[in-house]
Amino acid sequence: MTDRAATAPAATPDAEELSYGDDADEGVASGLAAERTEMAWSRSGLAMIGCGVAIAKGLPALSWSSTQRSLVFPESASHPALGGAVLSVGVVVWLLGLYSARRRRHAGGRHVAEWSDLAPTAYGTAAVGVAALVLAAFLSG
Amino acid sequence: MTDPRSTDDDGADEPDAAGAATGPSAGATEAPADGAEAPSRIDVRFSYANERTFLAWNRTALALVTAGLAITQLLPPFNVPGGRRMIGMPLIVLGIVLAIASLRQWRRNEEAMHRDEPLPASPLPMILAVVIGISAVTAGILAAIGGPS
Repeated sequence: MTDRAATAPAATPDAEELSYGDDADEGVASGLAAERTEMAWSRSGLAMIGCGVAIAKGLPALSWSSTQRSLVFPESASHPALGGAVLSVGVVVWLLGLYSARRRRHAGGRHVAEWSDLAPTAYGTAAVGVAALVLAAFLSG
Repeated sequence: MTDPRSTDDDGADEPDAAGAATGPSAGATEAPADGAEAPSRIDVRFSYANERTFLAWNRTALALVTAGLAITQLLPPFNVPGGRRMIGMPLIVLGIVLAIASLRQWRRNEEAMHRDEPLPASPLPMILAVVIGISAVTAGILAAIGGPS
C-alpha cells in the first residue's frame, strides 16, 4: 500500500503500467478473499441452522441405567419453539451475510464490510446464547 | 450503533494515498455512483480477513453456547446438585460475551487499519482459554467426586 502511494504521484507511463499490473493481481487476490468470506458466511449460517434443528428435534441424551448396567440413549426433551427460533435466526443470518458479501464482491471487491453487515449476526448469536442460558438455568439440574 | 467509518471518512490527511488505493480508473466512477458506501482506503483483503475472523469467533461463540446447552440438557445429572450447570453455564455465558466482544474487536481492527496503525491486542483468545480450562477442571473434579450413579 505504501509502495503504490509513493509511486502514484509520479505519473510516468512506467509507473502507471506498474500500478495497473498491481491492480490486476490485487483484483484476483481480493476476489479470492471475497469468495472465502462468502463461504465463511455460509458456514456461519449453516452452523446456526444446524444448531436450531438439533434443539428443535432433541438429541439423544446420555443416561446410565443401573438396572441394565449400561448406557442408554433416550430422546432428550426437545424444544421446538427455541429450536425454531434459532433456525430462523440462522436463516436470516445466512441470507443477510450472503447478500452483503455477494453485493460487495460484485461491486469489484473494493467495498469493506459495514457495522450493519455484521451486527445482526453478533446479536443473533448473543440472543441464542441468552435463550440457552435461561433454558440451562431453569430446565435442568 | 453507529457506523465506525462515518467518523473518519473525510480522507483529508492523505488524498494521494486514497487515490492510489482506489486505482486510477475506478476512483472517478465509483465514488459518486454509490454514496452509501465510500470506496475503501485500506487493502480490502485485510478487511475481508478481519470479517472472516469475526465470523470464526461467531462460530466459536455458537459452539460454546451449543456445548453448554448440551451439557446441561443431555448429560446425566451428577451427584453434586447443580453440577451440570457448573460446567455448562460458564460456557454459555462465554459464548454470549464472545459474540458481542468479537463484534467490538472487528470494529477496533477496522478502525486501526483505516488509521494505518498496528492492530490492537485481542484479549479474546486468553479469555477463551481460561474459561474453557476452568470448565475442564470443574468437569474433572465433578467426574471424580460426583459421577453419575
